[in-house]
Amino acid sequence: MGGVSGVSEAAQQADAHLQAGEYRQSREVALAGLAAAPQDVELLVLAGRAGVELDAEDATEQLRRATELAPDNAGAWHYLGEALAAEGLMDEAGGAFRRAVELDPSDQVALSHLGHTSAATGHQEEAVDLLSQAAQSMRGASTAAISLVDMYRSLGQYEEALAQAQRIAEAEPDDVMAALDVAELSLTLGRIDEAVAAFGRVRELDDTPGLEASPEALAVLEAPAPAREEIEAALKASLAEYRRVHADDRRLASEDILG
Amino acid sequence: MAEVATAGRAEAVEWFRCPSCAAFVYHKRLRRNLGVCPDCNHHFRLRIRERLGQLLDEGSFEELSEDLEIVDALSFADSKPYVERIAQAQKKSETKTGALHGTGTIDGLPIVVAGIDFSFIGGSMGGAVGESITRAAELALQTRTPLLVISASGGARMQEGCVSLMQMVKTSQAMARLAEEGVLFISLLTDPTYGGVSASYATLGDVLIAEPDAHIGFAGPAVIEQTIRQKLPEGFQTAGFLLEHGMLDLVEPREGLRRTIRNLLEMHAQAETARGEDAATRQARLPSTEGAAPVTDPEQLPARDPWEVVQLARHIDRPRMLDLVGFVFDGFQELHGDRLFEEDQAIIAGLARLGELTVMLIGQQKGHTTNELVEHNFGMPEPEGYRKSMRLMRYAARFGLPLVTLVDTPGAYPGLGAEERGQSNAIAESIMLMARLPVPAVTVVTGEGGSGGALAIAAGDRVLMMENAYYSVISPEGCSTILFKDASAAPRAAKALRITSPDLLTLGVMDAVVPEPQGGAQADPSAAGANVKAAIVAGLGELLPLSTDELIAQRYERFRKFGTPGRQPTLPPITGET
Repeated sequence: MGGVSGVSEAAQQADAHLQAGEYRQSREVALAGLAAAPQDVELLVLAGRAGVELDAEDATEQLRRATELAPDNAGAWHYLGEALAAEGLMDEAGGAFRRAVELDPSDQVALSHLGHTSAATGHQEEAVDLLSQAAQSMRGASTAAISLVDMYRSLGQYEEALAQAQRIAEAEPDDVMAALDVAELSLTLGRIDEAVAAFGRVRELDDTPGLEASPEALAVLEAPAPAREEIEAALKASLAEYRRVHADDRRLASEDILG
Repeated sequence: MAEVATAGRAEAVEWFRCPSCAAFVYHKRLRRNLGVCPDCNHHFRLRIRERLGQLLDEGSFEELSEDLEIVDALSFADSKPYVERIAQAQKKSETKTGALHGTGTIDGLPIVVAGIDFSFIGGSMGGAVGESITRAAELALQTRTPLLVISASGGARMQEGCVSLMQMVKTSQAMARLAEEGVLFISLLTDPTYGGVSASYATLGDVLIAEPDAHIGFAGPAVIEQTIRQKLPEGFQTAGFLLEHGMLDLVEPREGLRRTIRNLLEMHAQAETARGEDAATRQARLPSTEGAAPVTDPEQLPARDPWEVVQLARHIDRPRMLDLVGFVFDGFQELHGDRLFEEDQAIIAGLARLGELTVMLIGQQKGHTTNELVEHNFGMPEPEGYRKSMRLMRYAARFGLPLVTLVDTPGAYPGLGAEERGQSNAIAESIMLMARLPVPAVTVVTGEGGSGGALAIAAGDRVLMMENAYYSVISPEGCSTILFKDASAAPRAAKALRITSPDLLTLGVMDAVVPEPQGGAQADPSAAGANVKAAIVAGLGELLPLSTDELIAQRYERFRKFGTPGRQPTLPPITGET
């Protein structure tokens, strides 16, 4: 994605407010600038982006207008895609992200978004391909990498899912969800010893008494020579709730970052 | 035109896999949808501040919990010292204690609010959490401001030992004082609420609201399954399960929470203001009505064959309780549950607005279609219906809310389970409670007044009936079988039992009769509803000026006279009958 050049003072101010999470001020400044320069694409994009954060009704329309005025502006298409995704219009969002990636192949976030919109619109194989591309170029536990584990799982491709989970776990050794994915997937593939080791790692990472990961599974694992049936039964009983809790945790943690 | 920068955005997860339906949800879509999956309505957990942001007016929250500290009274350590766990939790949750309280407004209506953040050691209740909730309750009491507590907790905090256990008493006694003083306490139970929290203040609210599919219980399902060695049913301990079992007032999707709490606050604000008003001002809260005035002279009522009246009272198109709610009241918030065993939809109850007056409305509901009739058990309550009714009568007493009851039942449900769970006792206790209730009570028999099943909610200060309703110690069919030894003699029994409005008005069982449109209420439900409204307003208008002592004394005398020689009016024999 290219740098910003020739921005007006209003655009600079609006952008500064936006980066600081001051969406209302950002939007006010951008709208004031648009009153004087209604065709200014930069201001339209800033007003639209701030508007998305504020759930403004005309935010998507402002971004759409920006893409009409500057059909080769990758950023405008990128943010239009996000606005449409926020409205749940996944087909249209996918189209906008696809255009953003065409114009700027280095925009890995748009590529990741495109992978997710493909998944959301039922194009699973394309989604895996796109998310794989995005995950390779984004570091660690990126959205694309995490979703790719889920995609492989949902398609029954457990070897690929485990490999992807292991890559995340190596990049993010303190990520309890990645460790848990490795543990579960190892177990699913019948690799009991690896699963035992991976569950041990989960326990190291998540040891709050009463809230630790899969306590029943760990209790079984601690017993001498547990039968595989026992382990699987214990896992089944406890993992669903644990994964649900951590799905929330991951969302909450991400919301802190995303604002 | 410059490119717009999008770099440096990959650190956070932006698409979440819904743990319920597995759909990918974009984070801005999820936020816009209040943290609810747009595909399957799964309610993701919220941080307490995010929750307050959804419920309170923007910028209205003033936090009062900044000085709270966690006390490690036990110097506890497991694999690591408790103080280290606290530090970890503070870092993870970005809260100091996992609890907060303060003041705010919802649509301008003031509220004291407290809440627990589940991300802080599973929302467990230690001393600081208990302190925050207790302080909030004390502030609510001191300022007579409604209290909202939002819970999400695994239970008592093990690391604080019995100090944690004591928070259950500390918070519960604070809530008891609110109940004693008639200060509203709304408890919002979110996923999950368990153990020492669900077994203390969290289920002591005047109104218990839960989000859909929130898990709420005392013992966790894994513990129960291990103990009883049985597989638990689907949906066990979910909000829906609890509602079905009478443990909640409402299960409210997140999008409706703010509106519902706002309605409750508004109704209670009206009640709180009305409490301190003189009689004339309270009476002025009643709405003006266009319906026909109730009739107190039996001679003015048309003579109608009793069996014909029974048919009209049972007419499938006759306006039912919920129809009348629409015609009579200006707003209604249903409240569910007996908090003991089961939700019984044969009795519908809740807060209702009559003009500017908030009342407690309790009534028997039948419905019109087969499905509705089955859903409401043909208007035949089980003990749970009466126990729900009693719970809400006590609620009315706590807040000084006048009581309106609408009676329409063939009788209490004659079933095995009903007997096992004490049908007789439920009816008896309901009659006793209503007889001594310290608030005005107006009853209208709108359809069938089936014996004790009707009387359980009919021991009011003013007892009225609609012109074509009937009220009887037994159904005409039952009487004909038992006393006339002839099942086909129901019309004759109906006549002999003196169950019609003119006769019951003469006997003093009724204080007045609500006129019906030509042909019966079903011919013009709206007009019938207007007449019911006029009768209720007239009844309350007479009662509102009375003191509690006067109300109870007059009610006692009202029912004391029946069957007393010299005080009991009598009817002349029916001519031409044997």
